[in-house]
Amino acid sequence: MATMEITTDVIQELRHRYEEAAIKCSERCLYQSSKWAAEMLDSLLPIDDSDSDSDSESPMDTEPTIPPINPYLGAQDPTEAALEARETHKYLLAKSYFDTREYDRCAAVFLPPTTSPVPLTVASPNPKSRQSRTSLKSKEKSSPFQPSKSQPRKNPYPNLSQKSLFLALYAKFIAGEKRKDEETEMVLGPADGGMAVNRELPDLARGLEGWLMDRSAKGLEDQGQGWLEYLYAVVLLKGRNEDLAKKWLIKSVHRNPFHWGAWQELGDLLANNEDLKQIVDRLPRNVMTLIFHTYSSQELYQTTPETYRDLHQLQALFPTNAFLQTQEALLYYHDKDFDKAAEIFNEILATSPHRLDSLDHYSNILYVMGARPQLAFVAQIATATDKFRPETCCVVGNYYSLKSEHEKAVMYFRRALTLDRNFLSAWTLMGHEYIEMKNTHTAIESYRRAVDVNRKDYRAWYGLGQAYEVLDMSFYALFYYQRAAALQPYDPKMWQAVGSCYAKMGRVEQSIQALKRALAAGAYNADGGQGVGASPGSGTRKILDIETLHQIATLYERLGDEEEASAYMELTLQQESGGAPVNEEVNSDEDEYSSASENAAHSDDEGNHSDDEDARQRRRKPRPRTSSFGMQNDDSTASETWHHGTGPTATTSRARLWLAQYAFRQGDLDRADQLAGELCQDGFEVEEARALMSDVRARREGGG
Amino acid sequence: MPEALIAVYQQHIILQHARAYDCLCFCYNLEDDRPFAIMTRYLTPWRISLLCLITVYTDGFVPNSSAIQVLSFLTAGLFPLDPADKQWEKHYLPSISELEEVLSGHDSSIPGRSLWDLLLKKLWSLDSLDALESFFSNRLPTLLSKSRDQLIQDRDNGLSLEPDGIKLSRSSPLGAFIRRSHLEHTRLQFHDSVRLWLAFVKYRLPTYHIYARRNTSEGQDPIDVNLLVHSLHGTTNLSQVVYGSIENDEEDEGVVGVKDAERLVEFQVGELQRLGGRVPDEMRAQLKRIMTSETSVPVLMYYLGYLDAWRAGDYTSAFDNLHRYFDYTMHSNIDRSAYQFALLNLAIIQADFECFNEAISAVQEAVAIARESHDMNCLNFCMSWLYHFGKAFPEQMREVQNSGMLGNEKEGLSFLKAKSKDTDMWSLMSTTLLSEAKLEMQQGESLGSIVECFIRASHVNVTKSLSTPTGAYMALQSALYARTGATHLAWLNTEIFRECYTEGHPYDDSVKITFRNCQILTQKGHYKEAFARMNMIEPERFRAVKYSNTWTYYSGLLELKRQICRDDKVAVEHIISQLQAIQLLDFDLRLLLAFLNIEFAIRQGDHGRALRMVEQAAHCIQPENFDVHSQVKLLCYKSRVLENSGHAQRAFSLAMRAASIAHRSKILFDLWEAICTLAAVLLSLREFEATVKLVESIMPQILESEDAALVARAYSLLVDANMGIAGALWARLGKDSTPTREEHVNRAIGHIDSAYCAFEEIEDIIGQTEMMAKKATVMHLTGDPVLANDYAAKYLDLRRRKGVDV
Repeated sequence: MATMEITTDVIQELRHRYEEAAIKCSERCLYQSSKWAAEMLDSLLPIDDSDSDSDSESPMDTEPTIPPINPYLGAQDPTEAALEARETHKYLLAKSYFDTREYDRCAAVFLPPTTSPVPLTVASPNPKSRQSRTSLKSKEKSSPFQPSKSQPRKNPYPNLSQKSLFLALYAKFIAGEKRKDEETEMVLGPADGGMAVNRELPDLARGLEGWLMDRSAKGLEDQGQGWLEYLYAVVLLKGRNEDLAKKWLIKSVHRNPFHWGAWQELGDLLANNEDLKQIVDRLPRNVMTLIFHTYSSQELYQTTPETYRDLHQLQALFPTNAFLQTQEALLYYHDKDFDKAAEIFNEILATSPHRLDSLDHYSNILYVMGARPQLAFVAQIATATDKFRPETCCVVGNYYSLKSEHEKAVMYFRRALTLDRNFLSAWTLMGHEYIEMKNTHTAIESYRRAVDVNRKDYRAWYGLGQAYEVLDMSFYALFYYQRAAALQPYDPKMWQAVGSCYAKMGRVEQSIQALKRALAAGAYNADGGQGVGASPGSGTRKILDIETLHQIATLYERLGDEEEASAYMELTLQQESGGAPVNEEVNSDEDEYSSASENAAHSDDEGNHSDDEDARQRRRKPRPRTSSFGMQNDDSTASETWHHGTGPTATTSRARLWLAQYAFRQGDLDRADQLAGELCQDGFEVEEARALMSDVRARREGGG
Repeated sequence: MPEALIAVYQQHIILQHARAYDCLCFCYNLEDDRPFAIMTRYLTPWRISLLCLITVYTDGFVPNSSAIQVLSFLTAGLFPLDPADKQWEKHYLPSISELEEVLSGHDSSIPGRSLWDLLLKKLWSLDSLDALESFFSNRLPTLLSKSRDQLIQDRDNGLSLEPDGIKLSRSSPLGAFIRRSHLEHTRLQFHDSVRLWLAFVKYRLPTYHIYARRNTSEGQDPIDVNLLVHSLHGTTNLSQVVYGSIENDEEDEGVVGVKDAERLVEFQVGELQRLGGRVPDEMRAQLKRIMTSETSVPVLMYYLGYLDAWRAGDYTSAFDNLHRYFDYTMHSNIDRSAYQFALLNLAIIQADFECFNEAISAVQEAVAIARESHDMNCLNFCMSWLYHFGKAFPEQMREVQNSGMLGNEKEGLSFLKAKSKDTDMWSLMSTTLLSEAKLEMQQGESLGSIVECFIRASHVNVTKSLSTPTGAYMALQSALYARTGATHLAWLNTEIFRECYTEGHPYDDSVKITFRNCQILTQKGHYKEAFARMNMIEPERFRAVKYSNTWTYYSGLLELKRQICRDDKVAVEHIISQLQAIQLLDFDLRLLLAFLNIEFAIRQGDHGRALRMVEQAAHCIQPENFDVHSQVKLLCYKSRVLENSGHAQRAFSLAMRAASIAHRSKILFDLWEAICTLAAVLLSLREFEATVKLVESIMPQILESEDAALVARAYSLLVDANMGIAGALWARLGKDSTPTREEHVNRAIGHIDSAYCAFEEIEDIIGQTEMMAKKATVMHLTGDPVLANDYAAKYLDLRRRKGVDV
């Protein structure tokens, strides 16, 4: 992205732009975008000291220097201006209807009910409408959201200013959405199968298409203000016509770059980083694009230095912006730097305690950190502000979930969804709760809805996999785990899941590979200093996860490769005494395991460094944080394992027993005896160990 | 089933010796711990602090010496409000300073620390919302001993028992409280727990400085430990959002839970039903606050409103509130299981407001429903109520009586006795026995069977530990003693009640018994004391319009009696007109007024009016409210009137009848009066010897009855008789008779003095003047003109004083 120089002019320009955006969005009842723009405007870097001083303190003096009118506020297009002037009274009426949530009435102000969405002049309207109805069900290409190539649509709307037309159509759209929500009734109830549709969509799609065609036919395409294009894109999007929607959204952001809603829709369309890269070139080059890029990178879990750089650049421009701060926090969150993320959220809370946006993410972070008191406190804050916001409900739900009160948690997630059906995190979290409550089928449904709302939510994918695994449908589970792993390649948990799925399906080789990947990912994360041990549900995993190691070993055993198996068993044992993690071993070249003991002998710091180097060499991804910093922030259990190892656990003991038996089989009686003795000391598997020891004694006596 | 209607189940019908229909009194069984329909807000800060105190206790920090006080404090807070508890206001919603007061005096088993210190530490260890939540969800269950299932589960899982600290049994009061709290906590929604937490923070805030001084750990935030974490970044903003201006917020929102409100209302209803008073003013203010608070109002509140309005004599509101209460409780009453009780309640209130027809139809419906649904309890109550109603308003009951639903009175009573025994309704049984005793007394039946009834009632009272019928029992017994002439015993009974039972018994009883007590006092002429006693009843008890009326009536009667004696015509007529205006429904009381009225007329010498009034009073008496006592009394009056107007023969036969009736039914007090009347008749028939014989034979009994008026009358009869004998001797024997005659005259003079004393005691001016006149005459006759002159002067002096205030 182009770096920007921050000059007074730039700031002044931005100020005017955001002002315009806030006012215009508000005029069109795009409340969220208006709010966003106003927030940006508020947090914009003040113009130079002298200016800002005069700005704030003596407005009388500065009056001549500040342009009295925002140059963007006046309508640039004379025809539009004339139309708007003519319709002022009607517009005011319509706006007030919209504000009082009488959407149909608002639409009717400008669109007379007689206006047929399908012009009567069209030869045969009937077959067409039938077609459109059937096509709603079948996902055919010829859906009404698809521009019909055969015959150009006509503009069905009266001659209105774009502002009024947008308001009317938007009101129609919202009315349809409202009815749709009403039809779905209860969350996850019988009518809530995602089948309900917004019945206004076909009409809107046809009408808007006709209008836009009409404009382009008149050569007025460049005169568009971007609002109707945005609306058309949204309508297309609802009809799952994403490519076209993307096209129109890009058009819209070109015309009207400071409308955040359009950017957001565009961001939701991106399935992965490649999409983002593709789209970047087609975007205008301005500060909004930078914001968009940063936002999308965050949404796509791209915790690269570039993202951080872009973000910091933006923060220089908007120093106190809570939205950008949230993005930063989320980036740290994706990086598994929970403390840092929590810290940022804390700051946001302290400065704007009434702000509820993204608090659900904060609660996720606190959940992962297991910080119950803070989570309760955040829930308290949110409840104090508004207890009927989906964010609040999510925070409270998370709190109850952390307290293992799953019924209550579900109640709150349901409430969140009742308030906003598209509230993504609530769907996912509700899925988790249902899993906890052993209601797998509902969990699957809820995860599925989450995925439908946002395909980038790896937790939902992972949850789906988990649910199917519970149902013993490994094939399905594998598919979903793979999706999750694709979204989160550096999360060992995903790979572990993939690995265990493969193992269940008997595809041992692939399973071993996946598990090794998990080891690598785990080591990478530990490397980066982020406390993997604190990630959700992974209390057992340490620097090198003994479970994974043991699993790999047993898998090798299944393959009959005893040597490999013993090597991994040895590795497992080594984790007991701690020592540096042995990343080389987990690389796919298997013969490096022999150096494990050497590595283990390294001092902590050395091991640390070598790992760092190793990680850099591998260049999976640049580390965002220095290891020393990570160490500080690491939670106590993780750092403990770093220094002292896991100590004897059930798993290591099993490994030890296996090794003892292996040694016994190999005829290495001393080692077998020693290991068995250790087992007896640790108090695990004592009987087996005793039996083995007596066997050894018998063999010795027999041999000797 | 709505609670108030259940209460009717446990109601205690109390028979008052005088009246029937107003003695229905509903008492709540306060031990009855039923689940309530609404319980959104059980948990309140003081309950949390009690829970903390329980943890201090279970941790074993409470030494044995203080354990009892701590535990009794806890239980006082947990149980329904006990009217016997003088400090109940302290135990209702104890504030933190009250906790301090109770606990700071007790040392804990940690040296140098009082229990209060430990409790504070516990309270402040709840340093955030989460701490409170985990206190509820994690700490509380560990306080309880494990149930069998849990034990089995633990054994199966290989967990061993770890007895640390005291484990509370699950069904113990504390255990039940903990389980209840735990359950209530799980029912809380998040914002409710936030509100609870805020209230708790506010509740314990006053103790922060004490706590901070004792525990000088740095960095304790007075409100929330989380604020400390956030302290780096301008917390004022944040804490303002979360806690508002907590330090100076005065209103105590969230301190009173619905359960507390219910507890209070329940208590008030109990008090009202037990004592029959009204809601005190300060309580009314508190209840109003509950009513207007945002939390849902307990339904019982309307019942309370009904009772209060009823007592206040506000028919419209009472009716309105009763219906409202039924409407709100209908949802828990789908099967009409409480319909009959609703009807019974309606009947009672209708009757109280003199809508007798409605009352009767309501109670008949109630009887029908109760029969239909085999609800014996309700049926019994209905029958009992109908019985008393019939006694009170015989003319209203003709129709019902004619339908034969009830049978005669005796049958009704034996039915009730049998049924109440069957259904274990002991208080009904006790009152029924008393009713039976009263009936027999009125009909003048054998004393033996009356006493038997008393003994049985007393036995039921004692063995079933009923305290409510005591008032009725004592009043009735006192009446019995008075009738049998054992005035001292009657007096003793009323004194016992006044000394021992005034507190916590229906105001009705205490007013009535005080009246009895004062009546006896006035009989002896202790007017001042009597009025002092009447005025001693605290005005709080007269907030109910009915009691106020009754009290006024009683006081009026006492005053009337005095004024009649003092022969103050103006005052008497004034009082009579006032008393007649009160229009009490009570037949006995009206009769009492009529007697006084007749007495006054006789004294005025207005025989025609007196006779008319006697006839009228006799006419009023119906078989249902027939009383031997009234009959004898009326006969005596009539005989007196006839005798005074010179129809001695007729008077004689009437007096003979009265005496024989009184004798037959052993109403000894009336018997003496009848005999006095008879003696007067004999006197007018010039049967002096017989008169003397008659009167002298009963003189000890008359003196025993402690009625100064009767004593005076008897003495004055003796005077007249003796003088008559002396006169007769003189006429027959002339001078020969001197010694005997002188003896009679001397006796007469002695009797004059005694009579004069008795008259003086009751301030009977007429009697006094008469005696003076007689004495002067006698002195004159005995030839002592100086003394005669003296007495004549005294006589004139008395006449002047007549009608002038002493």
